[in-house]
Amino acid sequence: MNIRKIFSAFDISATGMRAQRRRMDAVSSNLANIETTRTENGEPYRRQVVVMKTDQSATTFQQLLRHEDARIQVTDPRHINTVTSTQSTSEKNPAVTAETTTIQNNAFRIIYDPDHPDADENGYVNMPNINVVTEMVDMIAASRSYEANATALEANKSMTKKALEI
Amino acid sequence: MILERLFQKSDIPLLKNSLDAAALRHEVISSNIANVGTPGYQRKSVVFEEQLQASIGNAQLSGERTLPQHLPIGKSQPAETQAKVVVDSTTEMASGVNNVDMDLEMSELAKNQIEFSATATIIARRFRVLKEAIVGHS
Repeated sequence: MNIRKIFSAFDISATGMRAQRRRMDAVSSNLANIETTRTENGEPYRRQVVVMKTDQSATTFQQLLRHEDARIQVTDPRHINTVTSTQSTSEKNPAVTAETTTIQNNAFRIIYDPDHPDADENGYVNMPNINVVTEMVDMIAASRSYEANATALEANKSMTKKALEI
Repeated sequence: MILERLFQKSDIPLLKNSLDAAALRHEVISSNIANVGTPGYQRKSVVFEEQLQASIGNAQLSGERTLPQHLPIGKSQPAETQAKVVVDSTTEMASGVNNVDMDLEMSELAKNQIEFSATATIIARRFRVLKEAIVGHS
């Protein structure tokens, strides 16, 4: 068994956990700023969402070495190919990356509150367009996905331990 | 010669491939679980048992060998079966995000963990038997 393969499964689960944690951060931020009418650029707070993306970039030292420095051009079919691994980057099992983005184009929630310091001349205030139910649902989904990744990591740990008993 | 018979002609290479397949499958399942929120991701799976089955029983005619001089007929080498990753693009996207089904992945994970554990136990037992034979009992 290739021990690096087992460790790459650890890494994949870790990226999944990190992605779900960032999603949880975004939810917390949205819930905390549900009443925020003043931000740095002067307008009310805008909702943050996390976008997931597959990540197949070369990350480990061996992969970097294999892909950048240890590559010698094959100009003749009789030349020896220095790339020893048969598994190319495209065949790798993808990890995940999460990007936090701000939703720019949604309308603000307008409430009538003439006493509010940020009210306009008609007494209306622009509030962040955050739906508590949507955020809660997102929070539960993130929490459960995190648990799933943690379970996969735990399974990997016990498998690795089992392999060491052979 | 004796070592070849001990390690290469035994079922240890087959068990090793089976263990490799379980390790690869674990990585694939981890990847599926990590990408549960990735839009458009296509889940992957590992085929090994099907290929093993095919390498054992695809021949219409197979000959039993009762003498070592007999030619093998229809019997292939199951120990050379390698696990393969396939992309599952047929399952419909139930969640609307991608075709990863969390219940399926978690049950596959549990199953694979037990399979790995069982295979590792069997290999460990094989080696223990060999060791017993080498050491012997007085």
